This record gives sequence, structure tokens and C-alpha cells, in this order.
Amino acid sequence: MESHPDVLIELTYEPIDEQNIITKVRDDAAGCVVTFTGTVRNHHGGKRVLSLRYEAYETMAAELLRDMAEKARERLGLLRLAIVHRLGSVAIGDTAVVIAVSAAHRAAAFEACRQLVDALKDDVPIWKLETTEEGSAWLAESRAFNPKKAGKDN
Amino acid sequence: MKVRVVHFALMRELCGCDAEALSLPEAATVREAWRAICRIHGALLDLPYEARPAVNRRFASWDAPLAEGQELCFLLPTSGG
Repeated sequence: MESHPDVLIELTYEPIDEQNIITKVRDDAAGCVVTFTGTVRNHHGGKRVLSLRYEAYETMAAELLRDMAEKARERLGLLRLAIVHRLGSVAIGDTAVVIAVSAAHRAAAFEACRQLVDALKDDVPIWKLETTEEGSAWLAESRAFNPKKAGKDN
Repeated sequence: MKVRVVHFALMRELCGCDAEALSLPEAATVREAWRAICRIHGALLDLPYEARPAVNRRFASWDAPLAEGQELCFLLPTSGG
């Protein structure tokens, strides 16, 4: 399947350059660029977070992000969009994810950022290992997983 | 038939490997593959969540029939972003 050149998807082990991504989605037909930047928080559930590590099912995550981005572009009439997610070890304050969208008018661009970050958090196979003073744990934050029913193990 | 099962994050830790080959009867379903994986890795039975299955990098239903050589993944709750 031919991928759309106006959609940039990247999973990277290097620090994310937000300004560079914003520049890439600019378009002469656009009236705005809306950007969502997810950053690494120093606290979670009352505990001090020391570090995070992201791991992804990279092939599926990239395909799913591209599919989500192309559908959002079609549905909301966007011009260009980029989704870049960091993997590997990250420090407090680092940029974990950037979603940048250009559109003729702001309503569609704001809506796209909101929908895409929600979809990313619920469906894209990326996991974070959080290390606090009490130890390390894989976080379960997606709303798309059902608690196991009693007596049922599929 | 054989399928390849890939594991990530907590699933990788619970299974102790990042991928394994699984031998299944012809046209076995995703659910049958999950049961086979749980027989190998008993710790999976204690998970508080249902996994979400993916076949060839797409979400799939538990009743989907599998075919030789497919790549299967059982996702545990994600936390990207």
C-alpha cells in the first residue's frame, strides 16, 4: 500500500526535536499548526518517578499509527500530520511523544490532536516501564483492555 | 501448522523470551493459541486483564482461524504516550 507523503510516523530511540517536527507539517494552505507534546512526569500515584523506559511492538505500532493518522487526515480534512514517539530509556522532562497537525482551520487541528493522543494511548502497542523509589513496574494505562472475568481464561 | 508468537514488555518478562514458535492443529483459532501459550507459561493465568490478540500486526478476534507462518502477539495493557 502506498503511504501518504503528508503523514510522518516515527518511533525513535533518540531525543525528539519538536521544532523540526512542527516545521515538517507546515503548509502554505494551513491556517494553523496544533501540537501535542507529551513529557515525562516526575511523579505518579504519589511516588517520585526516577526514570522510564518505553518498549514497543515496533512494526505493529508504526503500521497502526500510520493507519490512524491517514484516517484522521481523511475524516477531519487535515493537511499534514506527524506522530513521533520516543522509545528506550528517557529522563524526567524529556519529550515522550509529539503529535503535530496542520489544517486550514484550528477546530479540525485541535480535534485531531485530541483524538490521536487518545487513540495512541488506548490502542498502540507501546508500554512504559516506570521506575520509582519502590521499584519498577510495567504500567497499564489503556482503557481498551477488559478485566478478566471470574472463572474465564479465554 | 506453526505460528510465531512475539512477546513484549510484561508479556516478554512473564514468558521469559521475546518470541517462540507454537505448533497448533490446522485452522486452530487465536483462542486456542492463547490456551496453548498459557499451558506453557502458567503465570499468564494470574493476570487481572484479558490480553488483546493481534495477528500479522493487526488486532484480531479470539475466534479468528490461524494459518501457517502467521505472526501472533498477545498484548497486555499498553501505556504509550
